[in-house]
Amino acid sequence: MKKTRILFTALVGTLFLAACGPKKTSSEFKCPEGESVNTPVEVDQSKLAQGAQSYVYASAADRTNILGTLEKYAVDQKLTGLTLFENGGYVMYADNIVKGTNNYIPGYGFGILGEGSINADLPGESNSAWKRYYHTFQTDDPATLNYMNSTTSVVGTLMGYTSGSYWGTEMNETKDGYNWVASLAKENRPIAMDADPDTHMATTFKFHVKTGSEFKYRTNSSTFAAYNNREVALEDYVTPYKIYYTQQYGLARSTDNLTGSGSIAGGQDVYNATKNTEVTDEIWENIGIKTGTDADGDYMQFTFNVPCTSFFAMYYLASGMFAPVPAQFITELGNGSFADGVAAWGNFSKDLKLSPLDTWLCTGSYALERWDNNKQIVYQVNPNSPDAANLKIPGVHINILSAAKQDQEAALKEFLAGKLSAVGIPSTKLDEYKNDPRTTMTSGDSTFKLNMNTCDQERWEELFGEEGAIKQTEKADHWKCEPAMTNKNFVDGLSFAIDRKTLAVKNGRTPSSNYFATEYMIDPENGISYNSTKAHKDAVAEMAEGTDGYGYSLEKAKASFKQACQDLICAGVYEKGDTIDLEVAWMETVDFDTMGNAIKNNLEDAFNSCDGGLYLNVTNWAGQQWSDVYYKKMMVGQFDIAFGSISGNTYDPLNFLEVLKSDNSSNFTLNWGADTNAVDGKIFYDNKYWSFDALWTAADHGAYVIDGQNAPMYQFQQASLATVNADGSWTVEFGCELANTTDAKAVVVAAVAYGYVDPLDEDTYDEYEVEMELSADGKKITVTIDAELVEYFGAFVEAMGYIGVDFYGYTEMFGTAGSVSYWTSVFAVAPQA
Amino acid sequence: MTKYVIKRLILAFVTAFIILSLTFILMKLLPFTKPIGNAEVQYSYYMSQVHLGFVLDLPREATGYGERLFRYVDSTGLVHNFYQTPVMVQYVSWLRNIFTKWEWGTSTYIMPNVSAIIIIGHRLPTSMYINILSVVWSVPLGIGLGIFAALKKNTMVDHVISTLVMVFISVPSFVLITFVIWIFAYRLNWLPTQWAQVTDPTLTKFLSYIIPVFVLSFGSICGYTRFTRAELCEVMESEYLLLARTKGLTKRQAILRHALRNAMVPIVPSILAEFIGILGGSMILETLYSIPGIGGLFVEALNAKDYNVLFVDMALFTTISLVAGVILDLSYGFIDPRIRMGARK
Repeated sequence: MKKTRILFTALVGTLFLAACGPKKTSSEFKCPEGESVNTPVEVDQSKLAQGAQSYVYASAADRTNILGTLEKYAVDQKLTGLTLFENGGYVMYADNIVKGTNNYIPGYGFGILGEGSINADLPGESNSAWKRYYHTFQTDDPATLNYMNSTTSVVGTLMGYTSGSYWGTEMNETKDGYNWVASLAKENRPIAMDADPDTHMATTFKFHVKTGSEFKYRTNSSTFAAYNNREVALEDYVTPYKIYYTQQYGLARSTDNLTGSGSIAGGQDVYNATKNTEVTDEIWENIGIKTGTDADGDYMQFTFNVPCTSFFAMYYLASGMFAPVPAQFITELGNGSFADGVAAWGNFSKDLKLSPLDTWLCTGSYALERWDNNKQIVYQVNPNSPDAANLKIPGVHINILSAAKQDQEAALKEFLAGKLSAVGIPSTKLDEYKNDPRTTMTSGDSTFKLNMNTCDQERWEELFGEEGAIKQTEKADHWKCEPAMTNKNFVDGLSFAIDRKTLAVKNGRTPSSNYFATEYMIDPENGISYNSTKAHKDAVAEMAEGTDGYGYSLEKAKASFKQACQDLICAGVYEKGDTIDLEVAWMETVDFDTMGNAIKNNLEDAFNSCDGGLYLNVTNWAGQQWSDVYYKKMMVGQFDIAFGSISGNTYDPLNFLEVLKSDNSSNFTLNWGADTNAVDGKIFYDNKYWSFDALWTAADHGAYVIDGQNAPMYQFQQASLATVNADGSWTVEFGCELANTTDAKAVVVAAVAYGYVDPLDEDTYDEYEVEMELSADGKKITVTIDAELVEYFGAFVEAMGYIGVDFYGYTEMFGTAGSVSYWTSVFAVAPQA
Repeated sequence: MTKYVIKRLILAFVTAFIILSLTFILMKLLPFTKPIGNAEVQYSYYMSQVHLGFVLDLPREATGYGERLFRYVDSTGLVHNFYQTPVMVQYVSWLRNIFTKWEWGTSTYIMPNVSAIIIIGHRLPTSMYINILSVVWSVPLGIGLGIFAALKKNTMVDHVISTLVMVFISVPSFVLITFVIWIFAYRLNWLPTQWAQVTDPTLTKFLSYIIPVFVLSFGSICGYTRFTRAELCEVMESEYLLLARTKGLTKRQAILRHALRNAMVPIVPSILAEFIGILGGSMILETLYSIPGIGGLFVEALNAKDYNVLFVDMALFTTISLVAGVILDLSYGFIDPRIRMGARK
């Protein structure tokens, strides 16, 4: 019996071992492979997009779908980071303010100045004449109204009160949107002169402007009283453009609009030609700004570089920066010198005897009444403005409240003391005032995000290593990428774990998990926010499902984290009990209290309670300057997660997606990970597979695509050694790749040899066109540099051993050729030994 | 004496030159602040810096200018390579403008196009008025309290004064400022919440001096009280004062004629030193009470990289401090006849 029992036990033991054995043998057990953020799917090669592609003229519905497709990809790949909230928030209005509407209109507001009124005196205002003015504040006095020469947004705000534009906005009749209407222009929309019948897009637009008795300047200056009620002349409309495009004035915004959508044809050429000279008639001749007079009166005609609809032409041109100004006024400001006048325009005079009240002619709804530097800026309704009759608020008073720089409650205190008409509620006082009957919510034009580095180490080194494509980093400074950040479940968990609503309310902001802020319009003409479209809702549906509406769900976070732990342990990245260390970089240490600690707790609590066998430890970081989080972290890849915000043109959300491209073409990519020019099978549009970059480029301005990827239309290879000919000339061959399809062509038109007579002196740079020949197959260019030129650049050759060659050419897509431009420099034209 | 004064002034000039040169060079050696934004925004920024002379725009990549800040190809194909202008080139240009044209440059940010010297001159008076009033108020009050405490040494009055002085001297100025504004302006509504506007009634303008003068003089009053008390107590225990009393002088006569005069020897120069601070304003007070003074100008200019304003500000304070140092040294000779400046043994 005893033997039987032993035998039975041995048998059971053997069976048990036989059953358990294989599970313990790692060579036979296969871990479920964790889904990477960048895991590709299979692609049908025959369906890859090829050749010239453009959706620039696609219908609004198609472009919305493209935007949705790109957004979904970006959200899934975590290229968008994790949005926390919008910059809108809680605002309190004084009891005497009657709003134009009680429903906040994105992109327009409550219509306080335009349609609102003030029905009682402001108690804190001691000046009886200003008691019914709208009272607001700024923390600094920029001491200028010249927005052309300022990058500070407050100057744009101050100028906006007093500078007219061709078109403006007004609330619609149903008070739920707004319309664009003529102001200095006579027509509500510019008239397209060369519209494509299918797309309705054009490059040249014309519209009539108010001149003569139809519109007059306003100034309260005693020095320049002669300009008060002076009639606006047609040439006055051109003066600001001439100032803007003249490079020698060195205006800070002169280069903002030289290229791309909304840029004026020939503007760049005028800018380049005026480096050391004022604009002449000859220089101005070819710019796309013309004036004239017809039966309907004086008109202006603009030609853009890029075709656009009448609405966008209006939008591009509707800027107070280009309000009319007489050239004579500028010359008088400069005591006879136009250039000095430009420097004085809108500023205090050098000796402070004149203020912007004197140096600026008002054309907007309001005219300057006082400007006491660092104390107050006061506007009164401009009686010459076409809008004057509709304005019920007689003026605007801006208090320069420097206290608000140090004390975040200073403005609120002033508001409560009856000295301000409106104030944003600081986070420290939200609990007290957010339910106050005077409090309202506003939406924002920008979102604050946690940007992410989802690179694995290999990808990081491609981008930021010693030979990195974005930034070259010494080995010792290489960032050690957190492997968990490449796991999709882990990153999803991070997104689900953040309680955005609580965080936003604590900070007085509007919670959001959307990439775009509410004010990004897919249909700006009708005021339709992109976030309200089906395309957007579909794009974020997966991440929004089962959450609190702002992407937060503790249960989903735990489930994602648990799955991530399993993936990471099984893959051998971590062992059970290990700790994942994540660093979250902030702008300032004060952010730790307002956001950092709450997010740290959100993430750690969710992860460490998911029972996944790993632990998460989050560390907050802040630099010495707020911008360190950009320059020392996000822009150079030295981070796991980092807080930051960027914004673009709210009327062109598609264009704003450029900041997600991994080639950093916008110079402002903040999230790093997937190669966005790789075709991974996740973007399928118009029955073709695309990379993110290719589809974006095709929709933004047209793309040249090879195998679904963006491809250059021309490429040159470094030259082999030059052959020194018997006559002393050099011959050298360059390999090249030039686009040559039905819809896309790249044409080389010239080769130019360049050098320095004295390589240490930049002023001795010189260049000459040289002979060039393209081979029949288009793969090789032979350049000959004659002996005389070789000798001329002799000093350079002696010092450096080579002469450089530049190539010039143009590209043509869909039959439209671009202008001839510089393409590339090839340096190595060295003679054979 | 004259020779001594001239020598000191020449030394002060040389010192000022060295300080300003070092400031210029060190400031310019600070890392270049790169703009945040897309390529077009960055291009705009660099071109404006080129215009100001801080950055070079070269058509080619170049060596000898340090790290290339930014590269941009415009639509006509022009290549822009931006490098920082060499610091010494900027320095020489700066010196040349000052010495040949007395041109200190114009502001680029704080008040665009306005002469940097005019900006300082525009902001200085407000700070000076407030600070002079504060000194005028704090000196008699501080010295008076100090004398009173010394005369009542080791009594309850002395203990109360000394304790209050220690308490108030320990309170950081920003706490005191915030507290005073909150109580007297926002809660009690007795005084203006901010510095008066030019257009405000005269009474409001007058009342708006009270908080800044009171807040600024608080520390000084405590300082003078403590200093005077300590000096007077020491003098009053000296043998010569005992001798004066034994010679038949009343206590009042002994204190006024002998004790106070001797106690004042170290106190008077400290009042002069206080005047140097007058020109500096108070950054925290001026910011929190929205006073358009000179207090925060240096920091404002530094943050905005408005170098011309920064250097004029620096030049002004350097010069004032050095000249005040000379005056302070000379003042010892006038106050205390035993001290002779520049005298040989």
